[in-house]
Amino acid sequence: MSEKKPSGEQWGSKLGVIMAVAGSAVGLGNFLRFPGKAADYGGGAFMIPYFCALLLLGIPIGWVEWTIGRRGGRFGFNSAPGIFSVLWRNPLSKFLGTIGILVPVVIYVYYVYIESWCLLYAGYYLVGEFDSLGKNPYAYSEFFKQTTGVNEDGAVFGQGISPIVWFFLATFAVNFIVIYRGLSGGIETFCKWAMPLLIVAALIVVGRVLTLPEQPIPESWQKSMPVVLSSNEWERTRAKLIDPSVNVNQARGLVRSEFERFFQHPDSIHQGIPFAPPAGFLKTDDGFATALAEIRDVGQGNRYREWLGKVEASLNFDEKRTLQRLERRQMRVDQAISRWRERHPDASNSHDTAIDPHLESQRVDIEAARKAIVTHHIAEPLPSLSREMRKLSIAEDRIEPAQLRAAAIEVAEIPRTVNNGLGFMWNPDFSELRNPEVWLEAAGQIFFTLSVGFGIVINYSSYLKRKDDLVLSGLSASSMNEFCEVCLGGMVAIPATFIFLGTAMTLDVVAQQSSFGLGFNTLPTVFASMAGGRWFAVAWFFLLFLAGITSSLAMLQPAIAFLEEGFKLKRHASVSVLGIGTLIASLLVVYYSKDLLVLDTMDYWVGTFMIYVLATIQVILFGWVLGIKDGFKEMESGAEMRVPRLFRFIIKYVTPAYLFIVFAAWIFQNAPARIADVVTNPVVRTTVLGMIGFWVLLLLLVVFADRNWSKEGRGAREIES
Amino acid sequence: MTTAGMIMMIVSTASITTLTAYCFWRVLTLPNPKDVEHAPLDIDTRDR
Repeated sequence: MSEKKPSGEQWGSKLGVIMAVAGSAVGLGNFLRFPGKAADYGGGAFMIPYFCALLLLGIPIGWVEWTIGRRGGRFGFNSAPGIFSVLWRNPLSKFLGTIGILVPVVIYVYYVYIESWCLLYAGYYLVGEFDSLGKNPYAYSEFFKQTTGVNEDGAVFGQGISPIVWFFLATFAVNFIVIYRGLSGGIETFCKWAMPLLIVAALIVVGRVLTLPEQPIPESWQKSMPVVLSSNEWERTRAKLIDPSVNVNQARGLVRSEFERFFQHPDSIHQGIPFAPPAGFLKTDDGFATALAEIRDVGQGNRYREWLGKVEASLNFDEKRTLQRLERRQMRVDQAISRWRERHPDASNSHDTAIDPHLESQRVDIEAARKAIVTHHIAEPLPSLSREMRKLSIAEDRIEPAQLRAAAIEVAEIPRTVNNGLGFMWNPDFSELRNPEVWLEAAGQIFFTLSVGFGIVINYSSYLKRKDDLVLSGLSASSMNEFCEVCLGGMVAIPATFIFLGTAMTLDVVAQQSSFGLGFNTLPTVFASMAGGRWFAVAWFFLLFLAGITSSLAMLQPAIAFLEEGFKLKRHASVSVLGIGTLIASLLVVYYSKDLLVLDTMDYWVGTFMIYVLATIQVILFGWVLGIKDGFKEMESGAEMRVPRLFRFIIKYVTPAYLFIVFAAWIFQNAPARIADVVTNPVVRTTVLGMIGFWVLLLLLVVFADRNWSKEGRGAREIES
Repeated sequence: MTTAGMIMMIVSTASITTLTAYCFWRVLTLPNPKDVEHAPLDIDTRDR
C-alpha cells in the first residue's frame, strides 16, 4: 500500500521543477564568468571543449543526480545523507552525504552577500546615484571597494552602517520569506516568475548591445591628454612627467590623478573626446616607460608616432588579430613568470631575467612573432626611445621588445563595432586547443554553471513521484541554463566592453579573470558610455540579482530537508534555525571583508573543491555501487525520452575518468598555494577551521538523525506510490 | 568578425536554442497527468 511522503512537500508542476532547477543553475557565472573564460581561452574554439564537457560531464552528472534523488525520495529521504544511505547500504554513506548539505549552506552564506551587491547597483542606477561617477573607471573601482568593504575589515560597519548592509538584509529577507513559504508555494512560484523575467531583462540588454553604433578609437593617453586637458593643466602635468627625477611609479600616479580630474569634471562626460586610461601592458612599468620616453624625447617621440601610423596602415585585419592573440599569450606567460618568481625568490633576486627556461622560450617566441608582423611591411626601422628608457631603468635587452609590444597594442586596434566586439568573443583560435589548460577551464565552467555537485538537484528531485520524468526534465533544465549562458551571456559583457573600451582594456579585463572586476568595475564604465545606459544598467544588475536569488533559494532546501526528516522539525522551525545560523555566518562574511578573503576562501574550499568531491562520489555511487543496469532502469522509469545507450558507457567510465583528470590537474595547479595560505594566513586558517567545524557538527547531527531513522524504520522500504 | 567566428557563434547559439526549444516544446505539450489518470468508473474494462 502506498504512503504519502513524510515531508508532505512536493512540486506543483513539471514546468515548475524545471524552472526551479534551471534557476538554481543560472547564476552570475553565466553572465560574467563564461564570457571571460571563452574570450580568454580561444574564443569560438573554446566551445569545442565546452560542448565536449557538456556531453561527457554536465548532462550525465545532471541525470545521475536527478535519478539518485528521486530514488532516495521513494524511501522517504530528501537530504543527501539519507539518500546516500539507501543508495549504498554502508554506514559510511550517510556521512559522505553531509557534503551535500555542507556545500549549499556554505555557498549560501557568501552568495547572498554577492546578490546584495547586484541589488544595490540596480537600485542605485534606478535612482541615478551613479550619474556623478560618469565614465571614470577608477571611480567605479573605488566605489566597489568602498561598498563591499574590500579595503579593511569592518569597513561597512564603521562610521555608520553602510548602505550595503541594508541591501544585504533586504536580500536576506527576500530569500528567507520565499524559502519560508515552502517548496511549491515559495521557491517554485518565485522561479516560475523570476526565470522568464530574467530572460526578458537579458534580452533587453542583448538587444541594446547588438544595436550599438560604432565608437571612436581614442589615441594613446600621451597624445590625447594635451587635447582633453586645459593647456595649463597639461603644461603642469607635462613639466612633472619630463622631470628626470620622476620615476615610472610617480608618473603613473600623476597620470591617474589627471584621469580622475578629467572624468570628474562635470562637462567632461559630454565632451565626446575619446580618452582611455593605460591598460594591460601599457600600465606596466615597461609600458609606462615607453610612454614617458615618448613624452620626454619629443623629436624621437614624433618619429616613433609617425612610424606607428605607417605600420598601422600596412597591417591587414588578420595580422591585427594575430597581434591581439600574441598579446594575450604574453600576458599569460607574464602571469606564469610572476607565479614562478614567487615560488623561486632566490632566482629572481640573483638575476632579474632569470626565469624558467620553458617560459623564457615561450616569451622569446612570442616577441619574435610580434616583431615579424609589426616590421614585415615596413622598411623603416623602429625609431628607438632607448635613451630615455635607459634613464627609466629599463634593462638594455628589454628596451626594443617593450617598445614593440607597446606599439603592437596600439596598431592592433580595430574599429569598435558590434561585429568586431562579437568577433573578440567568438573568433576562434584553434591553436588554443593544444593547450590542456583550455580543456580544464571548459570542464570547470560546465561543472560550475550546471551546479552539479552542489547537492541541490538530488534534493529537488527527491520530491518527485516514482513515475515522474527525469530525463527530459534534467535535459530541459540544463539546456535552459546553457541558453542563458551561451546565447545571452555570450552576447553582452565582452562585446560591450570591446565596443566602448577597445582592445587593450578588453584584453586587460579578460586577463584578470575576475568576474567581479568585469561585472562591477568594467561594465558600469561601459554603461556610462552608452546612450540610455543607466536604464540598461538597471536591467542588467536586476537580471544578475534574479540570477543570484534563484540560485540561493535552492541552497538551504537540502539542510531544511535534513532537519525535517532527521529531527522531526516543522518547516517553519527548520527554516528559522537555518535562517538565524546563516544570518550570523553571512554577517561575519560581510564584516570580514578585507580583500574579500573570507569569501574567496569559502568559494575555493567548499564552492569549488568540495563540489568536485561530491560530484565524483555521486557518479561512482550511481555507476559502480547502484550499477549501470539498475541505475538506468531507475532513470528511464517514467522517462519521456530515452537516454542513448552510449551514456551507459560514458557514465560508468568516461565521466569518472574525466572528473579525476580535471580534479587532479586543478589540484596540481591551485592547491599548493592555497594550502600555503591556510598555513600562513590567520584569516584563511580561521575560515577553513570554521567550515571544518560546521562539517563536524553535520557529522554529529547525522549520528543522531540516523538513530531516529532506525527507530522509525525509515529507509528500510519504499513508501511512495 | 571572421567567417570562422561567425560559424562558431551561429552553430553554438543555434544548437543550444534548438535543444532548449525542443525540450520546452516536449514539456509543454505533454498531456496533463490529471487528463490521463481515470477514476475507476471511467475505465471501461469490457467486463460485462
